[in-house]
Amino acid sequence: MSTVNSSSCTEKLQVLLQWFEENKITFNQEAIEVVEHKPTKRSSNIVSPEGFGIVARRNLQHEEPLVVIPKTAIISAATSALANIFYDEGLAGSLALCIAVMYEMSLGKQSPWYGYLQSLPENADIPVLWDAQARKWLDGTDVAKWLERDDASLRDDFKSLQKLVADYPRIFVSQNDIDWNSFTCFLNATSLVSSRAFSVDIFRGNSMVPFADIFNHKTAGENVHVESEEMVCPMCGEAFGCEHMEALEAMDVENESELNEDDDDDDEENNHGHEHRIDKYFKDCKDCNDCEEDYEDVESGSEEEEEEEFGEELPLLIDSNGVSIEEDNMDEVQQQDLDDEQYEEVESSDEEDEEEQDGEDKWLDTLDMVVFKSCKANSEVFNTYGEHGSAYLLHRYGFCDSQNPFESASLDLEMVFQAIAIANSETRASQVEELVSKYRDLFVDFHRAKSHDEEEEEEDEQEDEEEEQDVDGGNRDGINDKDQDGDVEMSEDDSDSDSDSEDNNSMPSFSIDAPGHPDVNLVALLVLGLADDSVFEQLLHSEDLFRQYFPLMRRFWLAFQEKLDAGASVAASLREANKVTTVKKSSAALVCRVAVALAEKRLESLGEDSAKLGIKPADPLQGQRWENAKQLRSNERKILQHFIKAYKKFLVKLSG
Amino acid sequence: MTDAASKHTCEAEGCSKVASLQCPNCVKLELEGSFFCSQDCFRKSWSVHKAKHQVENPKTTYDPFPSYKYTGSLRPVYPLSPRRAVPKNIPPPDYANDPRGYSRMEQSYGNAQIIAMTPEELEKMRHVCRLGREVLDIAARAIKVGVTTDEIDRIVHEATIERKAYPSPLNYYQFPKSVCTSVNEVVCHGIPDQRPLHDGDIINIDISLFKDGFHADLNKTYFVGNVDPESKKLVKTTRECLQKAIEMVKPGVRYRDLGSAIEAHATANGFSVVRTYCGHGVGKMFHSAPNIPHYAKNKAIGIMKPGHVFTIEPMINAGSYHDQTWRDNWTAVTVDGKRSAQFEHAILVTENGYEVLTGRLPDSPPSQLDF
Repeated sequence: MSTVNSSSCTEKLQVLLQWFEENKITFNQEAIEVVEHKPTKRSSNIVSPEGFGIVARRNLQHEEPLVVIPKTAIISAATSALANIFYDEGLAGSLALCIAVMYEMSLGKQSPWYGYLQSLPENADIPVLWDAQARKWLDGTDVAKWLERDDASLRDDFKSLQKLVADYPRIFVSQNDIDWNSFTCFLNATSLVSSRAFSVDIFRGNSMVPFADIFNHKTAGENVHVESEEMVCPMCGEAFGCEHMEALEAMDVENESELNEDDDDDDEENNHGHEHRIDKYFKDCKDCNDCEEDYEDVESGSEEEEEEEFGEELPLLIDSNGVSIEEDNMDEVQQQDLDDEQYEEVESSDEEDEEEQDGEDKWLDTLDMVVFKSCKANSEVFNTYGEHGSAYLLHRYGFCDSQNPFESASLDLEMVFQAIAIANSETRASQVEELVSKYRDLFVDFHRAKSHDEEEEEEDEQEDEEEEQDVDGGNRDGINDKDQDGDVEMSEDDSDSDSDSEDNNSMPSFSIDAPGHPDVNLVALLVLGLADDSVFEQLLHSEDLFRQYFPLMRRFWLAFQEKLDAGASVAASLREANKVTTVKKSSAALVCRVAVALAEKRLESLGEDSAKLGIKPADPLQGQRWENAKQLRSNERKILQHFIKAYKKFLVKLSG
Repeated sequence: MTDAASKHTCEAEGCSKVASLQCPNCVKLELEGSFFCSQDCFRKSWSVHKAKHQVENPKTTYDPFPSYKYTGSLRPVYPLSPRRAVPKNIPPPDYANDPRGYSRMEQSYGNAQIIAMTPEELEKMRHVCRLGREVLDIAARAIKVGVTTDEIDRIVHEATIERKAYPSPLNYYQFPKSVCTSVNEVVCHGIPDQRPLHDGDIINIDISLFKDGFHADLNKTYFVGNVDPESKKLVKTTRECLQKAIEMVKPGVRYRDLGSAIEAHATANGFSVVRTYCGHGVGKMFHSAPNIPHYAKNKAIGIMKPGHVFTIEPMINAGSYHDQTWRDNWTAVTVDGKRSAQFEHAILVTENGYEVLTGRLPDSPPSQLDF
């Protein structure tokens, strides 16, 4: 690796770069370089002051491939040495990944991931690691709320780990800075997994991805995307065929006619992932001498397969003199020769160049990092960890931004019940509470899918975005072929919602987004809680009615809010919204009033910065925490104020 | 060949043209007829026609893939003998009658599911492994210059069914025979055929059999007549590689670490380790988790626990570690045509170490490696 600028490399980085090479992680060294991160450059974006970052050495073009990471280089629970132990003990998710990482760390230089692991900081300073003083700064924020739950669940996880360690003393040996009995050690590893892991595919799930995790995050300003074949074999993670996929493939051949009918472009969004994948497998196999016969079998779906398997190759007929008929059948002969040349090529390259391993590389399943938005020379190249607000970012990654279009603040369900109790009655509040637990699915589904209306809107936006990219990115065809074969573009996002405490459904909360709009579930609940007794009684006693009515209320409020926002009169907005269902003007006003009261209460508990924060501490680590807490508080306050302002405006209109 | 040739008609179905061209394989086998008017008609008839070549006691043998570029001097010697029958009263594994030879059971297990056997299961496994060893020893005694690998297949097949066991290779992913015989540059999965063993050959015999719901799996490489010193060193080193890996086995050991010991010893002797084929879990399934590469620095899944049963079966090459597959889709050969040797045992992880389930019996033929 001659092109690495050794003067800027510390030993850690040198070892890491060497490890990349040994593990076939390749990057365009002429386009980007790995640098020691300079904390002064972008103080709000530093994952850790000890971390690395990626800097562009020249202007980067849209769609340019930058890094190729074989999946064999990642660390996942499913592919860990401990995978069978996890299976036997029923461990999965982020705890299993955390244990896998700690295990490799405990092996020191014996670990195949040593070069990678030695490059990581001791931890990522996420709030679970913060001391009591620093946690006080978060008082009243969403993060403080989540921390309470974290503490309990992490203690539980640590207990599971303790049991595992006791059951397998030969496996879990405390060495190389890993102390299996230290909660701090466990927390440090947890923080690394929390801040660096992301979902790779359906088999590996959340994984540590060397190199990909060097890119720092910039909300809505990322330069690169990670592309990965997500639809691998769910049993063993193979992307290019295995015994499990052969079983699937056999079934597919049986349903061949069905598969052929599906052969248009429209079905990318549907559940056709594995079929696309299988198509790809066969396409690749066409060029591979080992699989040629398999391919033919499948294509013809022949009933004579059994015989053909041990069929000899078709020889050339001979004439009465025993001479092959090549002269008369040139086409035939040329075809044969062509075949042979292909074989020879593969063989000779194998022999000549062991490094290249032509055949093997072709079957390498990789993650590819590709330029998504062009990037100027000498600036940092960013990835995105997803569209998240400050609280989420601070909680999971240990930092937050000042400018974030995905900002949000949340209101607890408990607060909503209290508000209903005050505005209406204790009885009503407890009845609503019952309904919420009875029809939990209505909320859960809604959280996942958002509203139908919103979804459509978003799709439109995405299309617009894509068109824009077409303009500045030029020709997308060809380079993007991969996507059509079933590759999935991913952001560095968590897809295992179950492992994330803020998605924990034990006590749902309602978020208010950056434009100051509340989760419509919140408003629909308020409409319900404040509805006339006659209407409410009916809903209380008829499941059918409730299931119809609740989504209608959500849609009503979306339509109403949208019209009002757009400056329409109250009458027009109500008329529009009442196409969906009928809500009286006075009810709408009451809902707005209670909603404002709720937000004000939330704002109140956030408190004054001067009281909660005090003076910035001199200690650098505490100082950084203090800054992050201050930023978070300011962001949450802005959102809440936005919300209050918008709904007060509605109130004025409604009462005017 | 006479001038009467012009009076034949094309044998392709629906074609009645005059035909003077003949199937070369039929000519070699001295079979009557086999006239076609064109290569096209020949191709159409091929799937039916080729059955003609599968005759008992052929007078002539032939290479079924004449245009394939072989890497060494070994050639397949066809026709293969017809598929051998297994008596109906022997319970077969699930793939025995599958048209593709797939094992549904194997396809339903993931690669992190490493099975620990119960003491009752282990008793059956020990017994089956012992039977496997007996059959291997019987096959070994049959090895001599001039014996065909097909004859070894017959001997193995008969010894297996005599023990009321099913020969595991038969129809596994459509493998056509009851044993794998891998001669000289064949790395593994050689198909027994009409080739007689030559003086100086090395041959690996890989025995697997299925009884009482369990598979045994073991193999050894043998010398045929007078073998050159370099080949002897290769075979001996391979056996030592296996031994070094076996001695590492105990609870808590990572499966991925076995390869380091094997590769270190192989390279120290100037040989290379095959990467394509691995050791594997064995028991209720012929092949199951864990997957055990024999090369160093692999990232294989799994940690040993008492009750795990698996094979270690290093394939060590005299030259390049790269392999490729013949057009029979099975026979793996070295790309440089240099020789390859292999040894395999089924190993049980015990509370404090290991037990070799397929080890020597008191009456096993003496080792050829004490030279």
